[in-house]
Amino acid sequence: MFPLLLLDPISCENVLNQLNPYELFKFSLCSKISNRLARNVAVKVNDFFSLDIHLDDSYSIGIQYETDHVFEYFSCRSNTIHNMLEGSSILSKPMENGKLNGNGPSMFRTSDEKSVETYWEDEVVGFKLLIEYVMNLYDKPIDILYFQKTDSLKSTEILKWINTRKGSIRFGHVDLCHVNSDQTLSLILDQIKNVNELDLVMLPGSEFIKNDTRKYEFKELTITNGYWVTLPRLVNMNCNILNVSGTELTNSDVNSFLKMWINGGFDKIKLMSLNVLEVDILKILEGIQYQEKNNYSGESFSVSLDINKNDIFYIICRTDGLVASIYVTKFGKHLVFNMEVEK
Amino acid sequence: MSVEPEVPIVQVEEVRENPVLYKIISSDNHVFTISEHAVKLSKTLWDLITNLGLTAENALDNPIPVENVNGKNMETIVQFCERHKYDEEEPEYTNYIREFVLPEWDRQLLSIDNEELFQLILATNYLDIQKLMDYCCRVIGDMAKDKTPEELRIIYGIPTDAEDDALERSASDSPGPSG
Repeated sequence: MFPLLLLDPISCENVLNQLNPYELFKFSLCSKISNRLARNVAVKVNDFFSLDIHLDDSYSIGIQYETDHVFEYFSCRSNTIHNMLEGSSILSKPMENGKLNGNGPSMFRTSDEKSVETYWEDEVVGFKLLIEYVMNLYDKPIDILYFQKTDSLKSTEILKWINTRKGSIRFGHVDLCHVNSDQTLSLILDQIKNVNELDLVMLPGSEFIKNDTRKYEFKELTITNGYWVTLPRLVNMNCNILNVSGTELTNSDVNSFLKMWINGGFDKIKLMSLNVLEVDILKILEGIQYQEKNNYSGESFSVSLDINKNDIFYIICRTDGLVASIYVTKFGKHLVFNMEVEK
Repeated sequence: MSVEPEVPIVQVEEVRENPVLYKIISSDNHVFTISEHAVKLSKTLWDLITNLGLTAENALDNPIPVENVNGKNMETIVQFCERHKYDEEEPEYTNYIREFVLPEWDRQLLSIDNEELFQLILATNYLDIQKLMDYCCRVIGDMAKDKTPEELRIIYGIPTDAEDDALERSASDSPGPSG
């Protein structure tokens, strides 16, 4: 036994600095005191960590970190005690009891493959405690959310709880293709409002498309399979960056959108990319004053795409003087309508 | 994971330089000779030498007593400092998560039992030798490899929460200085 706690605080911290993040995490599980010591060390390097949540067929929180030359990762999963009994032969390490810094009771098993399995009476309650534990240890909010093929109601409850914690989620990949009920879809969409950059896939039914009037306000929103992005819904999407593919929008819809922008709407939009049914730029610009340019100066725009300088750009101007460039690019077989707003 | 630092060959340079030597006396009266470059690795000793005004001429006539370090630890410390006296200065610590592997020579030097390692750390801390402190801490950190939390608790002598609570209770139950 090495009497670590008898060292002076600086030497003790120096020792803990030598542990890799997974070892430090395991050390934090020893007791409340070890948790406090580990936290002191972890918060000082937390710029090199990012936390991600996976809500799929199981619930886990991952810790990614950057060492001298590589990114490494370990994860902690929440299970029911029932799962533990079923899978006990898989894991070789012994089961341990811990209170996750007083937030227990729980049982956990660590493995050499950088994973921690935790076992709870109720996996959702347990997962919330696990998230709290990890967020406290690194003093960081959740950075990335992965949401797919999950028990929607349980996962919504987890999201609801995450939204009560400090900080917002930087990036979310949310796949709601498995959600059949419009009501559940609404519940989930309500809980991902705080995601900054959202990658959204969903297959809503006609009733939802007709009735949903929510605002989609994100820093960046990417929608694939966006057949449900009709003009009324597009009008409710006020994002800095908006990418929608697979829409059924017509040239006339885009024309209406541009006219609303010219009249002062969508003040947040900096870059928009729409995969429209058939792009006819003259129909899109019908009734709009524009200036045609061959040479494009990407520097004056907030966000620039990698485009060919020989393409034709259509410069339009808002009533308040703000300028945007309109152009068409190719994506596979499809043409894509793009709009970039000047800085 | 990181590259083992190259250990310079010091003997040739030492002969050429005709180095200044200092004498150190441990708490149990063992006398050690150490070169100027090596002693500079200890901030405490170098400050002492500077403050005492020891020079090349009078250094060997004025042994420095170090009452907090015994002969065994001093021997390890002197060996370490002589070995590393020409090492390049470490880049400033940037709070970056780094993993380094202890050089084999140092690993062997520090292959001692935990009680000795603990005493060596106390001595290193007192003499303020950053590099040796880092290396000792690396040895202790390596004990955590592939261990479970419960194993770590035992290896590092961490009391359980229940033990801590009991200790706290007994401390609060015991009469204070006035009682």
